[in-house]
Amino acid sequence: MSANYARGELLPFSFHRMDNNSVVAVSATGDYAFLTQQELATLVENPEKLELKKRAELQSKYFLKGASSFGSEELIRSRIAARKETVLAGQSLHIIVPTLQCEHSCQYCQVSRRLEDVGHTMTPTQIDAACVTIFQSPSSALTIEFQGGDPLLRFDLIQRAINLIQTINLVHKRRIRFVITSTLHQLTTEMCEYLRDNQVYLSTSLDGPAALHNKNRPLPTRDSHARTLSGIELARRIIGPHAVAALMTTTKASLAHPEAIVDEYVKNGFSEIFMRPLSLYGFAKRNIKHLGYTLPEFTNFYQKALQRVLEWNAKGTELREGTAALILNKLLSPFDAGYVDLQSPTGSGLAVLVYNYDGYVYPSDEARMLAETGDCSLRLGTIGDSLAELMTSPVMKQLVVTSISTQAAGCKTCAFNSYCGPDPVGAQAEFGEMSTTALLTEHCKRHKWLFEYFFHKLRTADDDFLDIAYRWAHPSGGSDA
Amino acid sequence: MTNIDLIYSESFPAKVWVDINQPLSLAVQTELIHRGWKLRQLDVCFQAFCPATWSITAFNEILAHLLNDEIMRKKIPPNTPVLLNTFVATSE
Repeated sequence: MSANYARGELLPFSFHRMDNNSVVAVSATGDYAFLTQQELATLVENPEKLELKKRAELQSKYFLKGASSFGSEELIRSRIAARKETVLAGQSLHIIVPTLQCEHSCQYCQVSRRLEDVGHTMTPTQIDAACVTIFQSPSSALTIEFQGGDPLLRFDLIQRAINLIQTINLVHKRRIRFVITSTLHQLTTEMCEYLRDNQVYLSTSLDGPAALHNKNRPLPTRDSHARTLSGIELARRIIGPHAVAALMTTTKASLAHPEAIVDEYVKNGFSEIFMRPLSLYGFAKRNIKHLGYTLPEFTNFYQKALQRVLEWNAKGTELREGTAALILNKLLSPFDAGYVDLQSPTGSGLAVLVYNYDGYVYPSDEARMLAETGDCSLRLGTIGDSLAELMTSPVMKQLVVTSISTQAAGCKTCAFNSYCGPDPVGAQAEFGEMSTTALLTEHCKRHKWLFEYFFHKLRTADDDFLDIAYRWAHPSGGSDA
Repeated sequence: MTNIDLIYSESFPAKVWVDINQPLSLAVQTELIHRGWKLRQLDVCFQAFCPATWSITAFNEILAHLLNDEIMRKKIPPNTPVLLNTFVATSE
Protein backbone atom coordinates (compact mmCIF):
# COMPACT_ATOMS: atom_id res chain seq x y z
CA MET A 1 0.00 0.00 0.00
CA SER A 2 1.49 3.36 -1.00
CA ALA A 3 2.20 6.08 1.53
CA ASN A 4 -0.24 8.45 -0.26
CA TYR A 5 -3.01 5.93 0.01
CA ALA A 6 -2.54 5.40 3.71
CA ARG A 7 -2.07 9.08 4.59
CA GLY A 8 -4.68 10.94 2.58
CA GLU A 9 -8.45 10.84 2.57
CA LEU A 10 -8.60 10.57 -1.17
CA LEU A 11 -8.78 6.98 -2.44
CA PRO A 12 -7.61 5.80 -5.88
CA PHE A 13 -9.98 6.64 -8.71
CA SER A 14 -9.97 7.62 -12.38
CA PHE A 15 -12.22 9.85 -14.43
CA HIS A 16 -13.39 10.25 -18.02
CA ARG A 17 -14.48 13.55 -19.50
CA MET A 18 -18.13 13.48 -20.61
CA ASP A 19 -18.18 17.09 -21.89
CA ASN A 20 -16.57 20.44 -21.13
CA ASN A 21 -18.21 20.71 -17.74
CA SER A 22 -18.58 17.19 -16.42
CA VAL A 23 -16.82 13.87 -15.95
CA VAL A 24 -17.72 10.38 -14.87
CA ALA A 25 -15.42 9.28 -12.05
CA VAL A 26 -14.90 5.59 -11.29
CA SER A 27 -13.44 4.34 -8.01
CA ALA A 28 -11.14 1.33 -7.62
CA THR A 29 -14.19 -0.75 -6.71
CA GLY A 30 -15.97 0.15 -9.96
CA ASP A 31 -18.53 2.47 -8.35
CA TYR A 32 -19.16 5.59 -10.40
CA ALA A 33 -20.30 9.17 -9.87
CA PHE A 34 -21.06 11.97 -12.32
CA LEU A 35 -19.20 15.12 -11.22
CA THR A 36 -19.15 18.67 -12.45
CA GLN A 37 -15.78 20.20 -13.23
CA GLN A 38 -15.96 22.13 -9.96
CA GLU A 39 -16.84 19.02 -7.94
CA LEU A 40 -13.93 17.12 -9.48
CA ALA A 41 -11.49 19.90 -8.63
CA THR A 42 -12.81 20.14 -5.07
CA LEU A 43 -12.68 16.37 -4.62
CA VAL A 44 -9.04 16.27 -5.65
CA GLU A 45 -7.83 19.50 -3.99
CA ASN A 46 -10.04 20.00 -0.92
CA PRO A 47 -12.45 17.11 -0.41
CA GLU A 48 -13.48 18.43 3.02
CA LYS A 49 -15.08 21.41 1.21
CA LEU A 50 -17.53 19.24 -0.72
CA GLU A 51 -21.12 19.59 0.40
CA LEU A 52 -22.07 16.96 2.94
CA LYS A 53 -24.46 15.04 0.68
CA LYS A 54 -21.90 14.75 -2.15
CA ARG A 55 -19.19 13.82 0.31
CA ALA A 56 -21.37 11.07 1.75
CA GLU A 57 -22.09 9.75 -1.74
CA LEU A 58 -18.40 9.69 -2.65
CA GLN A 59 -17.48 8.07 0.65
CA SER A 60 -20.04 5.32 0.12
CA LYS A 61 -18.61 4.72 -3.35
CA TYR A 62 -14.99 4.49 -2.16
CA PHE A 63 -13.68 7.79 -3.56
CA LEU A 64 -13.02 9.10 -0.05
CA LYS A 65 -12.08 7.56 3.23
CA GLY A 66 -13.79 8.91 6.36
CA ALA A 67 -11.69 9.80 9.38
CA SER A 68 -12.95 6.74 11.24
CA SER A 69 -13.28 4.38 8.26
CA PHE A 70 -10.56 1.99 9.39
CA GLY A 71 -11.83 -0.91 7.29
CA SER A 72 -12.08 0.94 3.97
CA GLU A 73 -8.93 -0.50 2.48
CA GLU A 74 -9.94 -4.07 3.28
CA LEU A 75 -13.41 -3.44 1.89
CA ILE A 76 -11.89 -2.12 -1.33
CA ARG A 77 -9.70 -5.20 -1.63
CA SER A 78 -12.71 -7.39 -0.99
CA ARG A 79 -14.77 -5.62 -3.67
CA ILE A 80 -11.92 -5.91 -6.18
CA ALA A 81 -11.49 -9.60 -5.34
CA ALA A 82 -15.23 -10.18 -5.92
CA ARG A 83 -14.95 -8.61 -9.38
CA LYS A 84 -11.86 -10.68 -10.19
CA GLU A 85 -13.41 -13.97 -9.09
CA THR A 86 -14.07 -14.96 -12.70
CA VAL A 87 -10.33 -15.11 -13.40
CA LEU A 88 -9.18 -16.21 -9.96
CA ALA A 89 -11.53 -19.13 -9.40
CA GLY A 90 -10.15 -21.31 -12.17
CA GLN A 91 -11.03 -22.09 -15.77
CA SER A 92 -14.80 -22.40 -16.01
CA LEU A 93 -15.21 -22.48 -19.80
CA HIS A 94 -13.62 -25.37 -21.68
CA ILE A 95 -14.04 -25.33 -25.44
CA ILE A 96 -13.55 -28.57 -27.34
CA VAL A 97 -13.17 -28.35 -31.13
CA PRO A 98 -13.78 -31.92 -32.34
CA THR A 99 -13.63 -31.00 -36.04
CA LEU A 100 -13.13 -28.07 -38.39
CA GLN A 101 -15.41 -29.53 -41.02
CA CYS A 102 -18.47 -27.50 -41.95
CA GLU A 103 -20.95 -27.33 -44.81
CA HIS A 104 -20.79 -23.55 -45.08
CA SER A 105 -18.21 -21.47 -46.89
CA CYS A 106 -18.69 -18.16 -45.08
CA GLN A 107 -16.37 -15.42 -46.31
CA TYR A 108 -15.60 -14.19 -42.82
CA CYS A 109 -15.14 -17.57 -41.19
CA GLN A 110 -11.65 -18.13 -39.92
CA VAL A 111 -11.51 -21.81 -39.48
CA SER A 112 -13.89 -24.11 -41.25
CA ARG A 113 -12.93 -26.82 -43.72
CA ARG A 114 -15.15 -28.41 -46.31
CA LEU A 115 -16.82 -31.76 -45.66
CA GLU A 116 -14.52 -33.61 -48.01
CA ASP A 117 -11.37 -32.31 -46.28
CA VAL A 118 -9.77 -34.84 -43.99
CA GLY A 119 -7.31 -34.53 -41.15
CA HIS A 120 -9.13 -31.75 -39.33
CA THR A 121 -10.65 -33.86 -36.57
CA MET A 122 -9.63 -34.83 -33.01
CA THR A 123 -8.79 -38.42 -32.17
CA PRO A 124 -10.75 -40.26 -29.44
CA THR A 125 -7.54 -40.34 -27.37
CA GLN A 126 -7.29 -36.55 -27.53
CA ILE A 127 -10.94 -36.22 -26.50
CA ASP A 128 -10.28 -38.41 -23.44
CA ALA A 129 -7.14 -36.46 -22.47
CA ALA A 130 -8.98 -33.12 -22.75
CA CYS A 131 -11.73 -34.39 -20.42
CA VAL A 132 -9.15 -35.33 -17.79
CA THR A 133 -7.51 -31.86 -17.95
CA ILE A 134 -10.89 -30.15 -17.58
CA PHE A 135 -11.29 -31.60 -14.09
CA GLN A 136 -7.89 -30.26 -13.01
CA SER A 137 -9.49 -26.81 -12.99
CA PRO A 138 -10.53 -25.83 -9.44
CA SER A 139 -13.71 -24.16 -10.72
CA SER A 140 -16.84 -25.54 -9.08
CA ALA A 141 -18.91 -24.80 -12.19
CA LEU A 142 -17.72 -26.01 -15.57
CA THR A 143 -19.16 -25.18 -18.98
CA ILE A 144 -18.04 -27.51 -21.73
CA GLU A 145 -18.70 -26.02 -25.14
CA PHE A 146 -18.28 -27.89 -28.43
CA GLN A 147 -17.31 -25.71 -31.37
CA GLY A 148 -16.11 -26.23 -34.90
CA GLY A 149 -16.43 -26.21 -37.84
CA ASP A 150 -19.75 -27.78 -37.18
CA PRO A 151 -19.27 -30.18 -34.25
CA LEU A 152 -22.50 -32.03 -34.99
CA LEU A 153 -20.67 -33.54 -37.96
CA ARG A 154 -18.75 -35.57 -35.37
CA PHE A 155 -21.54 -36.28 -32.91
CA ASP A 156 -19.77 -39.52 -31.98
CA LEU A 157 -16.92 -37.50 -30.46
CA ILE A 158 -19.34 -35.20 -28.64
CA GLN A 159 -21.11 -38.18 -27.10
CA ARG A 160 -17.78 -39.70 -26.10
CA ALA A 161 -16.77 -36.48 -24.29
CA ILE A 162 -20.12 -35.97 -22.57
CA ASN A 163 -20.29 -39.58 -21.39
CA LEU A 164 -16.73 -39.49 -20.05
CA ILE A 165 -17.17 -36.12 -18.31
CA GLN A 166 -20.33 -37.33 -16.61
CA THR A 167 -18.56 -40.48 -15.44
CA ILE A 168 -15.61 -38.53 -14.04
CA ASN A 169 -18.01 -36.10 -12.40
CA LEU A 170 -19.57 -38.85 -10.31
CA VAL A 171 -16.45 -38.40 -8.16
CA HIS A 172 -15.82 -34.64 -8.61
CA LYS A 173 -19.46 -33.49 -8.30
CA ARG A 174 -19.01 -30.20 -10.18
CA ARG A 175 -21.88 -28.23 -11.68
CA ILE A 176 -21.59 -29.08 -15.38
CA ARG A 177 -23.22 -27.37 -18.33
CA PHE A 178 -22.85 -28.56 -21.92
CA VAL A 179 -23.29 -26.32 -24.96
CA ILE A 180 -22.95 -27.20 -28.65
CA THR A 181 -22.38 -24.37 -31.12
CA SER A 182 -23.69 -25.45 -34.49
CA THR A 183 -25.54 -24.47 -37.65
CA LEU A 184 -28.08 -27.13 -36.53
CA HIS A 185 -28.30 -28.34 -40.13
CA GLN A 186 -27.15 -31.82 -39.12
CA LEU A 187 -29.46 -32.06 -36.09
CA THR A 188 -31.64 -35.20 -35.96
CA THR A 189 -34.39 -36.43 -33.68
CA GLU A 190 -32.04 -39.03 -32.19
CA MET A 191 -29.45 -36.36 -31.41
CA CYS A 192 -32.09 -34.19 -29.75
CA GLU A 193 -33.22 -37.07 -27.54
CA TYR A 194 -29.64 -37.63 -26.40
CA LEU A 195 -29.14 -33.88 -25.80
CA ARG A 196 -32.40 -33.68 -23.83
CA ASP A 197 -31.46 -36.66 -21.67
CA ASN A 198 -28.04 -35.15 -20.92
CA GLN A 199 -29.16 -31.52 -20.48
CA VAL A 200 -27.14 -30.18 -23.38
CA TYR A 201 -27.98 -26.73 -24.76
CA LEU A 202 -27.51 -25.52 -28.32
CA SER A 203 -26.12 -22.25 -29.61
CA THR A 204 -26.52 -21.24 -33.23
CA SER A 205 -26.01 -18.32 -35.57
CA LEU A 206 -28.91 -16.32 -36.87
CA ASP A 207 -27.70 -13.26 -38.76
CA GLY A 208 -31.10 -11.83 -39.59
CA PRO A 209 -33.80 -12.29 -42.24
CA ALA A 210 -33.34 -15.04 -44.84
CA ALA A 211 -31.72 -12.90 -47.55
CA LEU A 212 -29.08 -11.51 -45.18
CA HIS A 213 -28.42 -14.82 -43.40
CA ASN A 214 -28.07 -16.70 -46.69
CA LYS A 215 -25.73 -14.03 -48.05
CA ASN A 216 -23.54 -14.20 -44.94
CA ARG A 217 -23.61 -17.99 -44.68
CA PRO A 218 -23.69 -19.37 -48.21
CA LEU A 219 -24.59 -22.92 -49.12
CA PRO A 220 -24.80 -24.31 -52.65
CA THR A 221 -28.51 -24.88 -51.97
CA ARG A 222 -29.00 -21.29 -50.71
CA ASP A 223 -31.23 -22.46 -47.86
CA SER A 224 -29.00 -21.92 -44.85
CA HIS A 225 -31.60 -19.75 -43.05
CA ALA A 226 -34.43 -22.23 -43.56
CA ARG A 227 -32.32 -25.17 -42.39
CA THR A 228 -31.19 -23.35 -39.26
CA LEU A 229 -34.80 -22.45 -38.42
CA SER A 230 -35.81 -26.10 -38.94
CA GLY A 231 -33.07 -27.14 -36.52
CA ILE A 232 -34.25 -24.60 -33.95
CA GLU A 233 -37.82 -25.85 -34.25
CA LEU A 234 -36.77 -29.49 -33.89
CA ALA A 235 -34.63 -28.74 -30.82
CA ARG A 236 -37.37 -26.73 -29.12
CA ARG A 237 -39.92 -29.47 -29.78
CA ILE A 238 -37.83 -32.28 -28.34
CA ILE A 239 -35.41 -30.66 -25.87
CA GLY A 240 -37.57 -27.76 -24.69
CA PRO A 241 -38.51 -24.16 -25.46
CA HIS A 242 -35.21 -22.74 -24.13
CA ALA A 243 -32.98 -25.30 -25.82
CA VAL A 244 -31.41 -22.92 -28.32
CA ALA A 245 -29.68 -19.54 -28.01
CA ALA A 246 -28.70 -17.59 -31.10
CA LEU A 247 -25.94 -15.10 -31.92
CA MET A 248 -25.53 -12.80 -34.88
CA THR A 249 -22.40 -11.54 -36.57
CA THR A 250 -22.46 -8.06 -38.07
CA THR A 251 -21.10 -7.93 -41.60
CA LYS A 252 -21.04 -4.99 -43.97
CA ALA A 253 -24.29 -6.28 -45.43
CA SER A 254 -25.91 -6.23 -41.96
CA LEU A 255 -25.33 -2.51 -41.43
CA ALA A 256 -28.39 -1.49 -43.45
CA HIS A 257 -30.78 -3.77 -41.53
CA PRO A 258 -30.57 -3.15 -37.76
CA GLU A 259 -34.34 -3.16 -37.20
CA ALA A 260 -35.01 -6.16 -39.46
CA ILE A 261 -32.35 -8.20 -37.64
CA VAL A 262 -33.89 -7.47 -34.24
CA ASP A 263 -37.38 -8.20 -35.56
CA GLU A 264 -36.17 -11.57 -36.90
CA TYR A 265 -35.18 -12.61 -33.38
CA VAL A 266 -38.57 -11.61 -31.98
CA LYS A 267 -40.35 -13.36 -34.83
CA ASN A 268 -38.51 -16.58 -34.04
CA GLY A 269 -39.24 -16.49 -30.33
CA PHE A 270 -35.84 -15.53 -28.91
CA SER A 271 -35.64 -13.51 -25.72
CA GLU A 272 -31.99 -12.58 -26.22
CA ILE A 273 -29.98 -11.11 -29.09
CA PHE A 274 -26.25 -10.41 -29.07
CA MET A 275 -25.14 -7.73 -31.56
CA ARG A 276 -21.54 -8.73 -32.28
CA PRO A 277 -19.07 -6.94 -34.51
CA LEU A 278 -16.92 -8.93 -36.91
CA SER A 279 -13.67 -10.14 -35.38
CA LEU A 280 -10.45 -9.14 -37.06
CA TYR A 281 -9.16 -12.67 -37.16
CA GLY A 282 -8.14 -15.08 -39.82
CA PHE A 283 -10.07 -15.08 -43.01
CA ALA A 284 -12.07 -12.07 -41.84
CA LYS A 285 -8.87 -10.04 -41.58
CA ARG A 286 -7.80 -11.06 -45.07
CA ASN A 287 -11.22 -10.01 -46.46
CA ILE A 288 -11.44 -6.85 -44.39
CA LYS A 289 -11.80 -4.50 -47.37
CA HIS A 290 -14.71 -6.53 -48.70
CA LEU A 291 -16.40 -7.36 -45.39
CA GLY A 292 -15.16 -4.75 -42.93
CA TYR A 293 -16.54 -1.45 -41.70
CA THR A 294 -15.41 1.38 -39.48
CA LEU A 295 -16.17 1.73 -35.78
CA PRO A 296 -18.56 4.67 -36.44
CA GLU A 297 -20.45 2.52 -38.96
CA PHE A 298 -20.79 -0.25 -36.36
CA THR A 299 -21.79 2.11 -33.54
CA ASN A 300 -24.41 3.74 -35.73
CA PHE A 301 -25.82 0.29 -36.54
CA TYR A 302 -25.64 -0.78 -32.89
CA GLN A 303 -27.51 2.26 -31.59
CA LYS A 304 -30.36 1.70 -34.04
CA ALA A 305 -30.56 -1.98 -33.19
CA LEU A 306 -30.54 -1.28 -29.44
CA GLN A 307 -33.28 1.30 -29.90
CA ARG A 308 -35.37 -1.36 -31.66
CA VAL A 309 -34.73 -3.79 -28.78
CA LEU A 310 -35.89 -1.16 -26.29
CA GLU A 311 -39.01 -0.53 -28.39
CA TRP A 312 -39.91 -4.22 -28.24
CA ASN A 313 -39.42 -4.21 -24.48
CA ALA A 314 -41.63 -1.12 -24.18
CA LYS A 315 -44.34 -3.03 -26.06
CA GLY A 316 -44.10 -5.86 -23.54
CA THR A 317 -41.92 -8.29 -25.51
CA GLU A 318 -38.95 -9.20 -23.36
CA LEU A 319 -35.73 -9.09 -25.40
CA ARG A 320 -32.25 -8.73 -23.87
CA GLU A 321 -29.34 -7.37 -25.89
CA GLY A 322 -26.11 -9.18 -25.01
CA THR A 323 -23.55 -6.42 -25.54
CA ALA A 324 -25.61 -3.93 -23.53
CA ALA A 325 -26.08 -6.54 -20.80
CA LEU A 326 -22.32 -7.15 -20.57
CA ILE A 327 -21.48 -3.45 -20.30
CA LEU A 328 -24.31 -2.73 -17.85
CA ASN A 329 -23.18 -5.67 -15.74
CA LYS A 330 -19.77 -4.01 -15.50
CA LEU A 331 -21.22 -0.61 -14.58
CA LEU A 332 -24.07 -1.59 -12.29
CA SER A 333 -23.24 -4.89 -10.61
CA PRO A 334 -20.55 -5.70 -8.04
CA PHE A 335 -20.47 -9.26 -9.42
CA ASP A 336 -18.87 -9.86 -12.78
CA ALA A 337 -20.67 -11.92 -15.43
CA GLY A 338 -17.31 -13.26 -16.61
CA TYR A 339 -17.21 -12.00 -20.19
CA VAL A 340 -13.76 -13.17 -21.31
CA ASP A 341 -12.87 -10.12 -23.42
CA LEU A 342 -13.28 -7.71 -20.51
CA GLN A 343 -11.16 -9.29 -17.79
CA SER A 344 -7.96 -8.13 -16.16
CA PRO A 345 -5.83 -10.15 -16.06
CA THR A 346 -7.14 -11.61 -19.28
CA GLY A 347 -9.72 -14.36 -19.19
CA SER A 348 -7.81 -16.07 -22.00
CA GLY A 349 -6.23 -19.07 -20.32
CA LEU A 350 -7.33 -18.04 -16.82
CA ALA A 351 -11.07 -18.44 -17.42
CA VAL A 352 -11.09 -20.28 -20.76
CA LEU A 353 -9.16 -23.09 -22.38
CA VAL A 354 -9.58 -24.42 -25.91
CA TYR A 355 -8.75 -28.03 -26.79
CA ASN A 356 -8.30 -27.89 -30.52
CA TYR A 357 -8.64 -30.52 -33.26
CA ASP A 358 -4.92 -30.01 -34.05
CA GLY A 359 -3.89 -31.52 -30.70
CA TYR A 360 -2.91 -28.23 -29.06
CA VAL A 361 -4.39 -26.23 -26.19
CA TYR A 362 -5.06 -22.51 -26.76
CA PRO A 363 -6.01 -19.76 -24.30
CA SER A 364 -9.12 -18.67 -26.20
CA ASP A 365 -11.29 -19.24 -29.24
CA GLU A 366 -9.64 -16.26 -30.95
CA ALA A 367 -6.17 -17.72 -30.30
CA ARG A 368 -7.02 -20.95 -32.10
CA MET A 369 -8.50 -18.95 -34.96
CA LEU A 370 -5.25 -17.00 -35.18
CA ALA A 371 -3.38 -20.30 -35.46
CA GLU A 372 -5.39 -21.09 -38.61
CA THR A 373 -3.80 -18.06 -40.27
CA GLY A 374 -0.32 -19.30 -39.43
CA ASP A 375 0.37 -17.52 -36.13
CA CYS A 376 0.71 -20.39 -33.65
CA SER A 377 2.53 -18.30 -31.06
CA LEU A 378 -0.32 -18.49 -28.53
CA ARG A 379 -0.27 -22.25 -28.05
CA LEU A 380 -0.09 -23.08 -24.33
CA GLY A 381 0.83 -26.73 -24.83
CA THR A 382 -0.50 -29.98 -26.20
CA ILE A 383 -3.66 -31.85 -25.24
CA GLY A 384 -2.63 -34.18 -22.42
CA ASP A 385 -0.39 -31.63 -20.68
CA SER A 386 -1.46 -31.02 -17.09
CA LEU A 387 -3.24 -27.81 -16.22
CA ALA A 388 -0.24 -26.82 -14.09
CA GLU A 389 2.04 -27.19 -17.11
CA LEU A 390 -0.31 -25.13 -19.27
CA MET A 391 -0.58 -22.38 -16.64
CA THR A 392 3.17 -22.08 -16.18
CA SER A 393 3.94 -21.92 -19.89
CA PRO A 394 5.79 -18.77 -21.07
CA VAL A 395 2.81 -17.81 -23.21
CA MET A 396 0.46 -17.90 -20.23
CA LYS A 397 2.79 -15.75 -18.16
CA GLN A 398 3.03 -13.25 -20.99
CA LEU A 399 -0.77 -13.16 -21.29
CA VAL A 400 -1.06 -12.27 -17.61
CA VAL A 401 1.77 -9.74 -17.52
CA THR A 402 0.39 -7.82 -20.52
CA SER A 403 -3.19 -7.66 -19.27
CA ILE A 404 -3.16 -5.91 -15.90
CA SER A 405 -5.33 -2.87 -16.57
CA THR A 406 -3.97 -0.82 -13.67
CA GLN A 407 -0.41 -1.26 -14.90
CA ALA A 408 -0.55 -1.46 -18.70
CA ALA A 409 0.55 1.65 -20.57
CA GLY A 410 -2.51 3.53 -21.74
CA CYS A 411 -4.84 1.68 -19.36
CA LYS A 412 -3.29 2.84 -16.09
CA THR A 413 -5.14 6.15 -16.02
CA CYS A 414 -8.21 5.05 -17.99
CA ALA A 415 -11.42 5.58 -16.05
CA PHE A 416 -12.79 2.28 -17.30
CA ASN A 417 -9.92 0.09 -16.11
CA SER A 418 -12.05 -1.40 -13.31
CA TYR A 419 -14.37 -2.80 -15.95
CA CYS A 420 -11.98 -3.65 -18.73
CA GLY A 421 -8.55 -5.01 -19.52
CA PRO A 422 -6.07 -5.15 -22.36
CA ASP A 423 -6.76 -7.98 -24.81
CA PRO A 424 -3.35 -9.51 -25.56
CA VAL A 425 -4.80 -12.09 -27.96
CA GLY A 426 -6.51 -9.34 -29.95
CA ALA A 427 -3.31 -7.27 -29.90
CA GLN A 428 -1.39 -10.27 -31.25
CA ALA A 429 -3.94 -10.65 -34.05
CA GLU A 430 -3.99 -6.96 -34.92
CA PHE A 431 -0.34 -5.99 -34.47
CA GLY A 432 1.56 -9.28 -34.12
CA GLU A 433 2.59 -8.35 -30.59
CA MET A 434 0.78 -9.12 -27.33
CA SER A 435 2.23 -6.11 -25.51
CA THR A 436 1.00 -3.52 -28.02
CA THR A 437 -0.21 -0.39 -26.22
CA ALA A 438 -3.88 -1.08 -25.59
CA LEU A 439 -4.92 2.42 -26.66
CA LEU A 440 -4.06 1.56 -30.24
CA THR A 441 -6.15 -1.60 -30.43
CA GLU A 442 -9.57 -2.03 -31.95
CA HIS A 443 -10.61 -3.69 -28.65
CA CYS A 444 -9.88 -0.47 -26.74
CA LYS A 445 -11.58 1.83 -29.21
CA ARG A 446 -14.76 -0.23 -29.35
CA HIS A 447 -15.09 -0.78 -25.62
CA LYS A 448 -14.22 2.80 -24.72
CA TRP A 449 -17.06 3.85 -27.02
CA LEU A 450 -19.42 1.34 -25.36
CA PHE A 451 -18.57 2.43 -21.80
CA GLU A 452 -18.97 6.08 -22.71
CA TYR A 453 -22.21 5.44 -24.59
CA PHE A 454 -23.81 3.58 -21.69
CA PHE A 455 -22.63 6.16 -19.16
CA HIS A 456 -24.39 8.81 -21.27
CA LYS A 457 -27.51 6.61 -21.39
CA LEU A 458 -27.46 6.12 -17.62
CA ARG A 459 -26.96 9.82 -16.93
CA THR A 460 -30.06 10.74 -18.93
CA ALA A 461 -32.06 7.55 -18.26
CA ASP A 462 -35.75 7.49 -17.42
CA ASP A 463 -37.20 4.93 -15.03
CA ASP A 464 -38.08 2.51 -17.83
CA PHE A 465 -34.51 2.34 -19.10
CA LEU A 466 -33.13 2.07 -15.57
CA ASP A 467 -35.46 -0.88 -14.86
CA ILE A 468 -34.14 -2.67 -17.94
CA ALA A 469 -30.53 -1.70 -17.24
CA TYR A 470 -30.53 -3.17 -13.73
CA ARG A 471 -32.37 -6.28 -14.92
CA TRP A 472 -29.86 -6.90 -17.71
CA ALA A 473 -26.91 -6.11 -15.44
CA HIS A 474 -27.63 -9.06 -13.20
CA PRO A 475 -25.14 -11.85 -14.06
CA SER A 476 -27.73 -14.57 -13.65
CA GLY A 477 -29.66 -12.97 -16.50
CA GLY A 478 -27.68 -15.47 -18.51
CA SER A 479 -25.90 -14.91 -21.78
CA ASP A 480 -24.42 -17.74 -23.74
CA ALA A 481 -22.01 -15.33 -25.34
CA MET B 1 6.21 9.70 -30.47
CA THR B 2 3.76 7.34 -32.09
CA ASN B 3 2.96 7.83 -35.72
CA ILE B 4 -0.62 8.97 -35.58
CA ASP B 5 -1.29 7.43 -38.98
CA LEU B 6 -1.26 4.07 -37.25
CA ILE B 7 -4.30 5.11 -35.26
CA TYR B 8 -6.32 6.82 -37.96
CA SER B 9 -5.01 5.98 -41.34
CA GLU B 10 -7.44 7.69 -43.66
CA SER B 11 -6.00 10.68 -45.44
CA PHE B 12 -8.31 13.64 -45.07
CA PRO B 13 -8.48 16.61 -47.44
CA ALA B 14 -7.08 19.45 -45.39
CA LYS B 15 -9.04 22.66 -45.17
CA VAL B 16 -7.83 24.14 -41.93
CA TRP B 17 -5.10 22.43 -40.00
CA VAL B 18 -4.46 24.08 -36.66
CA ASP B 19 -1.04 23.81 -35.03
CA ILE B 20 -0.83 22.30 -31.56
CA ASN B 21 2.15 23.97 -30.03
CA GLN B 22 2.86 21.48 -27.28
CA PRO B 23 3.66 17.80 -26.96
CA LEU B 24 0.68 15.46 -26.66
CA SER B 25 0.78 12.20 -24.76
CA LEU B 26 -0.49 9.10 -26.53
CA ALA B 27 -3.51 9.14 -24.18
CA VAL B 28 -4.48 12.68 -25.22
CA GLN B 29 -3.93 11.88 -28.90
CA THR B 30 -6.21 8.87 -28.76
CA GLU B 31 -8.77 10.72 -26.65
CA LEU B 32 -9.01 13.49 -29.25
CA ILE B 33 -9.39 10.93 -32.02
CA HIS B 34 -11.97 9.05 -29.94
CA ARG B 35 -13.94 12.31 -29.81
CA GLY B 36 -13.94 12.60 -33.59
CA TRP B 37 -11.05 14.99 -34.20
CA LYS B 38 -8.57 14.34 -36.99
CA LEU B 39 -4.92 14.72 -36.09
CA ARG B 40 -1.78 14.58 -38.14
CA GLN B 41 1.84 14.68 -37.18
CA LEU B 42 4.43 16.89 -38.85
CA ASP B 43 7.87 16.14 -37.44
CA VAL B 44 7.38 16.62 -33.68
CA CYS B 45 4.37 18.91 -34.02
CA PHE B 46 0.72 17.89 -34.25
CA GLN B 47 -2.03 19.55 -36.19
CA ALA B 48 -5.79 19.20 -35.77
CA PHE B 49 -8.29 19.44 -38.58
CA CYS B 50 -10.76 22.24 -37.85
CA PRO B 51 -12.95 23.04 -40.87
CA ALA B 52 -14.52 26.17 -39.40
CA THR B 53 -13.84 28.93 -36.90
CA TRP B 54 -16.27 27.52 -34.36
CA SER B 55 -14.52 24.17 -34.51
CA ILE B 56 -11.16 25.80 -33.71
CA THR B 57 -12.73 27.17 -30.53
CA ALA B 58 -14.32 23.81 -29.70
CA PHE B 59 -11.05 22.00 -30.33
CA ASN B 60 -9.07 24.38 -28.14
CA GLU B 61 -11.62 23.99 -25.33
CA ILE B 62 -11.50 20.20 -25.30
CA LEU B 63 -7.73 20.13 -25.69
CA ALA B 64 -7.35 22.47 -22.71
CA HIS B 65 -9.64 20.23 -20.64
CA LEU B 66 -7.78 17.06 -21.59
CA LEU B 67 -4.41 18.60 -20.78
CA ASN B 68 -5.72 19.85 -17.42
CA ASP B 69 -7.18 16.40 -16.76
CA GLU B 70 -3.71 14.89 -17.16
CA ILE B 71 -2.37 17.26 -14.50
CA MET B 72 -5.32 16.47 -12.22
CA ARG B 73 -4.76 12.72 -12.52
CA LYS B 74 -1.26 13.06 -11.11
CA LYS B 75 -2.78 14.29 -7.83
CA ILE B 76 -4.94 11.17 -7.40
CA PRO B 77 -3.42 8.16 -5.61
CA PRO B 78 -2.70 5.24 -7.97
CA ASN B 79 -4.73 2.06 -7.75
CA THR B 80 -2.11 0.02 -5.93
CA PRO B 81 -4.52 -2.59 -4.50
CA VAL B 82 -4.36 -4.37 -7.89
CA LEU B 83 -0.90 -5.88 -8.06
CA LEU B 84 0.56 -7.97 -10.82
CA ASN B 85 2.12 -10.52 -8.49
CA THR B 86 -1.32 -11.34 -7.07
CA PHE B 87 -2.26 -12.87 -10.39
CA VAL B 88 1.06 -14.36 -11.40
CA ALA B 89 1.18 -16.20 -8.09
CA THR B 90 -2.40 -17.40 -8.59
CA SER B 91 -1.69 -18.72 -12.05
CA GLU B 92 1.05 -20.88 -10.70
